[in-house]
Amino acid sequence: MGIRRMNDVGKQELSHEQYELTIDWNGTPPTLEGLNFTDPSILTGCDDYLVYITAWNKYILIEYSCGTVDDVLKNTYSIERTDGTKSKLLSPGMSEDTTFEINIVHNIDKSIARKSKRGGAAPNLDDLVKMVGSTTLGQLAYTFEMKLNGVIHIVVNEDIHAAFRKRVIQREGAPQQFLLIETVRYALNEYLVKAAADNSEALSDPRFEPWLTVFEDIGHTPLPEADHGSLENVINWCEEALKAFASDRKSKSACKSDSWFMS
Amino acid sequence: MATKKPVEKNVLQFTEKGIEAFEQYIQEKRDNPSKAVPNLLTTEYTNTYTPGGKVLKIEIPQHELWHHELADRIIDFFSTNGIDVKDTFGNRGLWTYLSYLFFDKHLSRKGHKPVKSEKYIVQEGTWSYYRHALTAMCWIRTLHGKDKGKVLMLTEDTQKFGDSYEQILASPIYQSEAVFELLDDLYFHEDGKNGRRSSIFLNQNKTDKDKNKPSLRKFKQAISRLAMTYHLPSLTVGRLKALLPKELREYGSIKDDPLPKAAADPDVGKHGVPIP
Repeated sequence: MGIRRMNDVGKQELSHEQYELTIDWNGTPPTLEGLNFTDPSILTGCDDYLVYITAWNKYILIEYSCGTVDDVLKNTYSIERTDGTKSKLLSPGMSEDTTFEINIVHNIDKSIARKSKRGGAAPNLDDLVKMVGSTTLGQLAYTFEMKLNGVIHIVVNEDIHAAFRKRVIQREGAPQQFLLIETVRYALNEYLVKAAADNSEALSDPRFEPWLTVFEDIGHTPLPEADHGSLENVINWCEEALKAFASDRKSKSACKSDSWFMS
Repeated sequence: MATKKPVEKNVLQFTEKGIEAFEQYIQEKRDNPSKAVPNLLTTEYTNTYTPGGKVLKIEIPQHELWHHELADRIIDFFSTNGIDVKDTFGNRGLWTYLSYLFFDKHLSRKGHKPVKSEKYIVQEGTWSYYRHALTAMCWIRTLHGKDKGKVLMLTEDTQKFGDSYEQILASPIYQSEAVFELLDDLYFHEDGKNGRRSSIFLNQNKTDKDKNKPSLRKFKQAISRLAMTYHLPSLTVGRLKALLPKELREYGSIKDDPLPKAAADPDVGKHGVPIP
């Protein structure tokens, strides 16, 4: 059997809206209480596949087994660590910044059929930036569209879309990083436009809330409401935000998976 | 030669001020390798660490150790005090303090120019934390026990840090038993008490015989690619080997164990609609 290329088995992303993971953070240690698939349609044909949950907090990585997809859908599953301890407890060293990942694994060849992103409380850049193919761009190389929930689509023509996907498969990240920085610049520019029009309203605009969390996450705290009165302050804050982002690892590691693309 | 008696020290944890002072010292020692370690044991730089309500004391051996020996001592210290060392890894103040205690006898001995401070000071956030030398040694040891991961742990000198740890620990492949088993099979040779690494492990001093053998970097690259498609913890070592590129399958004693063709599921590779 030759080596398969990566990502060539039709793996699908399990989005955060398609499952619910319940964790009791009040216990010591916290407990993984339950898993529920809110959209079973994405699991059609996967009844016998195995369900795993991974909890990760820096050095601590614990994997749990939940039986098969069918067990979870029929609520006849139990959560147990795969290390044989039959426990559904997290580690006492795990705090609420622990991230979780769900894997649905083929029962025979152990390939991953469905995979969630590693999710925590902070928004993921991979969720905020999507590349979209278009046939109506004309002479434009690319353009941006910001959605009401803050997600920005980088709209490119179909050929460029295909070429970028190939780059991602080959793990060549430089072009993505350029576009990612441009996207962040666009998000900040939209923020600036909003702040110029409505002063502090920009802070509470739902489009910018996830972006402000991303900047906060890299140590660039949002501009206080009172400072929005001066446009110069906002411009300076935006320039600093871009610099902070460009020098942070997020700018290097984000948007390098297939989930970045939308057709 | 008689071995010097170990020195016993209280286990504390650094405050942010303590971490800053330690970092400052590391910078200064880089310019002046003979600079003595300052006393940062005062309450100005430290907090108490009292799990179970008692102050713990740790022995600092005064003779040189190998990486796995030092890791075992630290893990045993926590274990004998009823603490699972894994539960302490997130404690930045504690592990930076431990680096401080072991600094001048083990991690950067007299006359040695310290490397980047991230090797001694646990970094905040999720970036570079795995580069902390002392934690990395213990982490590997706790992940797969004493008989696996030999090729990573058998570094003679605790003040030398190769990038081999980082190659493995920086990616989510470290939890796979099979990966560690393969690593040892490919790159570890039994040779006396402690064994030795293959020269091609870090792509150094390759002989003509070894020139086509893949280095650790190649191995890690292949495993990282597989991890995007396969659930590595579910693969046996033979099955994992069967999925590797030919250049990696050709070496080592572990036999590859591909899926029998007749038993192959016709749906494998067709897990539903393509990626949206």
